[in-house]
Amino acid sequence: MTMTADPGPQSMRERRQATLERLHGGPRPGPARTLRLPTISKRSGSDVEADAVDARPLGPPPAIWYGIIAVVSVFVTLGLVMVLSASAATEANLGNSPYRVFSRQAMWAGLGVVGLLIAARVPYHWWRRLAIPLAVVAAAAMVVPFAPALGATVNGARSWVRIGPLSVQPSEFLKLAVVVLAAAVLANRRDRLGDRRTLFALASIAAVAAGLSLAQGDLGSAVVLGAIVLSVAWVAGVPLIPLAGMSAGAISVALLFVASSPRRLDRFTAFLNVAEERDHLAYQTYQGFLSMAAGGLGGSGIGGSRGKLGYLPYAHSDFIFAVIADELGMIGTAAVIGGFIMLIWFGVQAALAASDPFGMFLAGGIAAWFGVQTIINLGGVTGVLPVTGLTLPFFSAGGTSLFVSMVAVGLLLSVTRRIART
Amino acid sequence: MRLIAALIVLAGLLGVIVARVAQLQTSEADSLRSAGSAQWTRSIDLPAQRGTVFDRHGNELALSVPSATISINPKLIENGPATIQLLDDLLDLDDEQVVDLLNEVARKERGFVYVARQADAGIGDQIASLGLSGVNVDREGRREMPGGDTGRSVIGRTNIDGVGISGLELQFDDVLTGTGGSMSREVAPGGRSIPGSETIVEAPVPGHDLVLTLDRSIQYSTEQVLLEQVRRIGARGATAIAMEPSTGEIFSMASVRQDDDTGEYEVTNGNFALVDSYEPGSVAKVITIASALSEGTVTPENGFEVPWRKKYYDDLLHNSFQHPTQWMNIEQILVSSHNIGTIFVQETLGRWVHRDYMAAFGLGERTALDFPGESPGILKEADDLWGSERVTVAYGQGVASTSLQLVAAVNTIANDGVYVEPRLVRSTVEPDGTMTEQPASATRRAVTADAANQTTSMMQQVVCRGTAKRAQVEGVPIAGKTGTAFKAADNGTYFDDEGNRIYYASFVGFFPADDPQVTVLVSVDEPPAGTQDRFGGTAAAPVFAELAPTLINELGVQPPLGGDGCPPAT
Repeated sequence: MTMTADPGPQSMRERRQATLERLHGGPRPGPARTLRLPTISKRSGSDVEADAVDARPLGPPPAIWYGIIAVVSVFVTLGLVMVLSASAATEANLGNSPYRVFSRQAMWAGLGVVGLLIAARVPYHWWRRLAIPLAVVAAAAMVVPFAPALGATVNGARSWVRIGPLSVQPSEFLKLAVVVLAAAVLANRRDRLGDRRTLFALASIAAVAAGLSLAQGDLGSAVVLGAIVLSVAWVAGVPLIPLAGMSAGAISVALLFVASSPRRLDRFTAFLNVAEERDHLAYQTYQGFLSMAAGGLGGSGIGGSRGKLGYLPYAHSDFIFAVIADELGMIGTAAVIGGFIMLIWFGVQAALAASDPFGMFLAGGIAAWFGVQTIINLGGVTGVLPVTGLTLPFFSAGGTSLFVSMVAVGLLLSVTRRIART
Repeated sequence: MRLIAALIVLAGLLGVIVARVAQLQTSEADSLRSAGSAQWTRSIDLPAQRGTVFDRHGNELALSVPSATISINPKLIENGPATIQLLDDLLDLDDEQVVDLLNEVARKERGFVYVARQADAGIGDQIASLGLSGVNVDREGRREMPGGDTGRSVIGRTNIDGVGISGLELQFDDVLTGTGGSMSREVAPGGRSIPGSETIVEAPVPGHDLVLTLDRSIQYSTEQVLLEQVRRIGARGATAIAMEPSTGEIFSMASVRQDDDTGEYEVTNGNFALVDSYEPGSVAKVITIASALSEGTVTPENGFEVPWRKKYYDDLLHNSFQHPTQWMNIEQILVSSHNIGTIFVQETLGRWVHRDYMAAFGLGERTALDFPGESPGILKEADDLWGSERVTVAYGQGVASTSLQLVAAVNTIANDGVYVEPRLVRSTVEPDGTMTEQPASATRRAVTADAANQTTSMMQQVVCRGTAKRAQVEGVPIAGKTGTAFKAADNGTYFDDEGNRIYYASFVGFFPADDPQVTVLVSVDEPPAGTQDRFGGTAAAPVFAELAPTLINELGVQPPLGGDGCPPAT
């Protein structure tokens, strides 16, 4: 065929191009892709250009896309198993179905899968446009628990909204909204990062979000929210001195909050002296120790934990890691923590490869969020940090946390699908 | 770069946590693990099965059967009134107890209240299967005697906790009691146990069984004939012992008495056959005469001019019947149970030698049974005897013995002059079936075989022509001796508060006289004064005759003679 004289001005190169297009069913996005990384620094943050990125068709998923899917699938599945294991006995003793907590968690996991798929499909720049409305709605939702008819106090924190059979924690949504907002703000102002207005905006986001959480009495969420803002700021390249100043400010506020009530201070510092306080303030931590120690290297097997039978409070939610360590042993804990490190690493990879600053900040922010929340939770369980009542993402029973974490993973996936290839 | 730095920081912190977990799961694990298991493990004692008490043929006399003890923990109980109602329906509790239990569950102060002890094991299982919280069902052994009261005086009793408190149950408590085991189970907070977590830490080892020398049939018959007799004549009580002459093995040992409160005659809890001691009375003449024969101070042909009464140490002692002074040989003295004649025989020995013989016959010392509460009786040193006591000991006043001592003493005659310690436990059996024989009874020669045989033939005459005719059994040669003693009352005299004599009537006999297979003592305590039933020959000897067929049957005694079992009159 090539020997046949084909009329037309096309060169061999153009013919090959056309053939490839025929085979692939469309024009190759190749040229655009090669430009992507360098364009981040060149482009301004205008919406027009962002839309141009959006419009590009999706390429085949990169390796980290599969990596994230794999880690999160394992996490969610294992999390469901552990929630069932950790909650069945206590629920049955209360006269409930042993599957009560599990089925609720499974339902949220199902919702989470839907949320994750949608978030992964939707071009992440839509979130940038929605950042402010989302943040406002999320902040407003934070006030709902104070409504007498809707709110509920759990463990001293008024951070729950009860709608029929569902309990929702607005602070989880706020975390997502804050990541998006902080990423959007810094993406918009990335050439003025040291600017007072930028810093003021960041500080306001952190202050409002953390303030709302503190108002609910939820220190853990406040710390995570503050850490998210600081992390995004760090990733975005905010100069060190203002960043350090903000960090110092945030830490002082947190310490002031803790010190404002002697009871809170006692509970906060109990982790320093677990052995002495094991019957009182550090009971939960001590029981967690007993469970983890019982696991040893190989673990006591799924279902084998005794602590979950009622000795260890919140075995299925905040302290699920103790049950995992008990039943799966050191191998299981290493796998779980290793999984989180991989997830953070994938997040950082996604951020590094992101096609625009917003994507980069978003991915970095989400990775930091997972990292910080995991560290605070695990630190509490292992007695390295105070116990603050945070969930372990993907594992702890708690529908809102699972759902929002999975949506956040969807965002991460959305960023990875639109990253540059070399 | 900042992203990588963030990654490194986060990964580093997670690494710290991994290290901390590793530390908790390895180096700190041991102490935490033991603290943990102490927290969720409870140890439960497992009671050991108490050994069974068998008779000589392997019939069960006392055994432990499973039973259930039901208790509640008012602090844990849910819906107290309904639970108590349910327990009442199943256990049929007293109304009073129901009220108490309802108060307990309402107050919720105590953590442990008994509902029923030693209830039927089946009902216990049913209650346990309901799984009521705060209701505990524990297994316990309940001591049962399949033969009813049979042997109760000897076997004794256990308390509600299964600990022996009297009789052989007390004496052999260590043997019968096993070694308790323990079980561990895991509990959730609040004490609810976790199904499937029970593990036997140490299996309980059942106690050893006891095989007694008792024969359940003979024991039963002995008790029944005693009850019949005391009921018929209206005595206070009675004891009886049947013993194998050559081995000292006790076939039966019975004690019956009228209950002070109800007036009913019943098998006693206490083993009065060896707890109480009485002056044996004329039965002791056998010892005096056999001793003198053995010592050679008299021969069967010897005799004395015997008055019917004589003054000794300011006391005018007399015979039970009046007669002119006459010559009597030794046999006549025994057959007529002559008091003064027996004193003459004792005088040939001297009271010091006589005292040694009485000791050789086992008086004054607890037997080898070493039964709980066993009395040693009273046998004073010859020099400690006072006044006419020095001679009345010849006919059994001034010395006291238990029924057991007395039967063992007369058994010496049946056993050719060799004293055999009584024996009640043949062997112990370990849970695995290993049988350990108890050592055979110790023996010692008390009198010569000739003296014993001469005494035996005199005792035959007692049954054939003397005071114990009512002990005769057709076709069986029986040797025996009656005793009608005055019993010392609490006021220190031989009269009760109404001035009546208090009697203690007994008969000891053995048969067949030429090859004795069994020696039997029957003692009737306080037969009615003023009636013909007050004598050993009338109160006790008939019981012997009534029991004899059972003994002949059970022991397979082959009577060598026909007729009345009596040798031709001499």
